[in-house]
Amino acid sequence: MRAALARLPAEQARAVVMAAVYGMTARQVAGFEGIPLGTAKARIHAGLLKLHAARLAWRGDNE
Amino acid sequence: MSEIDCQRFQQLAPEFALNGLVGRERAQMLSHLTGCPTCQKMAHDLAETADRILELVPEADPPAGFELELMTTFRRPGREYRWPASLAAALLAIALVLGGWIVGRSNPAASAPADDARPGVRTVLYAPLIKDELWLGQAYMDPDESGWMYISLTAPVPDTTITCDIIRPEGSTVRIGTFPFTHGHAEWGAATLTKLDAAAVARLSDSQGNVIASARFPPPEAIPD
Repeated sequence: MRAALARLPAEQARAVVMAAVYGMTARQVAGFEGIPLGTAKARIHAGLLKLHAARLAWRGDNE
Repeated sequence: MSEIDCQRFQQLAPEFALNGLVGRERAQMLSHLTGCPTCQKMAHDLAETADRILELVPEADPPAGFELELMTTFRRPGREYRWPASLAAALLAIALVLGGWIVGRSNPAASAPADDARPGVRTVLYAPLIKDELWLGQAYMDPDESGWMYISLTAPVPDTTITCDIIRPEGSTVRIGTFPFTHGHAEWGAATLTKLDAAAVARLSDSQGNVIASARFPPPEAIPD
């Protein structure tokens, strides 16, 4: 999972970690990063979906 | 309450999986889930992925100041971080999870992180720094070959230069680096550039070779369900 995080654009990785580990909402991520709410939502959305795809790919390769 | 369709659900599913939706939007998502097995599966799968991210966080909280120290040590040259100190805890989480990434990107020889992260494996290890059964601080380590170590030490000893060595189970020693110890305290981080897949001991010695403290790291292992 860390390798998959490493491949994300840094801003997406930060957004996903803030939401997943610290429980921040998209609005809080937006305030934290100084970006529009829509941008924060887009980063969380894209970041988590990419991690999910990487996890499915890893599972497929190892089953 | 208005209904949402599968397309709308899927747009909001990542935020929903991360518990980032509140109020009406969350209620609409829950309502949709009750009658849609396809979206139920998607929500379940995304929540599992979100849970995997939590496994990257160590089992004990580092000390105050850890996150800024780590970022200062490992951040890429020229990059500005403007995050407010009031949200240092969030920064800490980011530093812990992405520490290996930052080292990897700042070191040309390790530009491609090893793709060996395994589900259920704790990737940041914690061990207390001990001397004669006294707790003197904390040590954190990412055991990958592109990993890092972070030390927070408080000890009643004179100012000195401390050497940090990793001792493998078979007795071989890897020198990680040295750092100044002043006014009874030090915070230090460094890239380890060595892969550790078994239990190891971090040993801190003063300039005379006297052991100041040691941290006994557990082997990387699966987290119980």
